Amino acid sequence: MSYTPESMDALRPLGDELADATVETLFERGEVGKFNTLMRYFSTTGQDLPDGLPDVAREYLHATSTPPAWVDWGEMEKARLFFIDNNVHISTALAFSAMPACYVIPHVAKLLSATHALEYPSRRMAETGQFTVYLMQPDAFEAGSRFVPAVQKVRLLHASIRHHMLREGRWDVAALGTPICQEDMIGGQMMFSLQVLDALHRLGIHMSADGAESYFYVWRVVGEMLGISPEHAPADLDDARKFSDLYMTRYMGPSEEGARLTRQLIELYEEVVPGTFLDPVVAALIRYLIGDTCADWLEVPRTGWDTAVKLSPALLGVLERIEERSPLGEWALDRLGHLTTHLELSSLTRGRVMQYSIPDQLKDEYGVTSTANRTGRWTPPPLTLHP
Amino acid sequence: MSEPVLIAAGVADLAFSGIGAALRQARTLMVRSDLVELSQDGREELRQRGRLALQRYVPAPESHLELLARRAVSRPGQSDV
Repeated sequence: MSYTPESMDALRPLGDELADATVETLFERGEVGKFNTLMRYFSTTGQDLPDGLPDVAREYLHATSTPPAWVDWGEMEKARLFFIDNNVHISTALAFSAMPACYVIPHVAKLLSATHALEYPSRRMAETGQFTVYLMQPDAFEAGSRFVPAVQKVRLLHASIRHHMLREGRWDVAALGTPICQEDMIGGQMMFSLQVLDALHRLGIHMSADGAESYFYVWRVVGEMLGISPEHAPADLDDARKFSDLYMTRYMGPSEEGARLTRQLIELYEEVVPGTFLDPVVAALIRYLIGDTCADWLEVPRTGWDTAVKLSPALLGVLERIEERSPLGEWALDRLGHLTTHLELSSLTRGRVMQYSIPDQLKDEYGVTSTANRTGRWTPPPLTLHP
Repeated sequence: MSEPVLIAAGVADLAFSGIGAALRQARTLMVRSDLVELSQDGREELRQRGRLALQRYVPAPESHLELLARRAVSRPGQSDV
């Protein structure tokens, strides 16, 4: 598939029809409060819908209760194994690369900043983290899973943000189309899929082409469940590179909101890192992963650790060799990884179950299948833009 | 590369290329008289090991976002909507 500025522009007026219509109706009928209250008790697949749920919500939940019919479960299982193998690395890439990547798109930073709940990165990080953990459970799509209800709620959350931004005139529709439009949703999908793989590569993580593709595949499935239109979303990593490169260069740049969100994100991670000695590593790692230009746009402080962090691929390489050579080492590192991810997540969620509820109002101020060897080492597709 | 880094990498390298053997050697050390020279040799060996260990890893590729950002900067107006 080829992407051009014109084909990207055509995605800007498009939102998510089903979710938008559901949210409109809930607001029109004044049923949002009731919906949120009842939905707190609806958190697992297969559970009976609560009594008294508005009809429009019932229909929406019914229509979105299953993954797309085209899902290849073998590929999903491969992705789950890839996630288990790279658990900590993926969390690191999401936290230190994908989150700041969202902030270098000024209109996305502005939108995140304008929404009540998402103003605080901790909340969004906790929600994204929990979302990913739910996604990678073996039974993510079966009865009893928390993943599908989480997707259904996030999709309505996006629709409600569209509703508020448009209604309150906080969005420049002429210049930007619809808030959280198809182009931005696919852009986000690229940040959580391809760009996470880019970050893993930059960290020197060895991964197979098979593993990388299956990880991307999962995000295609999730993207469609979140309301991304399948005919526009990149189908493989090469198309993903083209879309992502064009999307990023169309918009990326500095913004006040981006810098503020980044500052909050860094403070948050520093709280999670025990003690203060290692605090500067947070900024250094972000700078290392996103590069100096983006880091300067986001006002990521320079620290004495900037050089030391460049050694992380070598250190990770050493850990990988320990893992290969000793079953005990492998077990120990695996436990450590498990512990780190859970510690990170639980300190962010503070034991809460994230509800992804529909905000009543916004913040007041505006501030593929490749023919190459699929088990061989994966390297990211190169830059697709020509000077 | 600074000396502490090389030594740290050397220690890490040593750690998985035979810590058992190193410990056995350490026991025989206790009874030797040329400890100072030995310790200097040991330091030098660690430094060399560190240098080799770091060379085994290819320098990380440039961050892809950095490449994109430079491209975005070189196209005035592109970062505006």
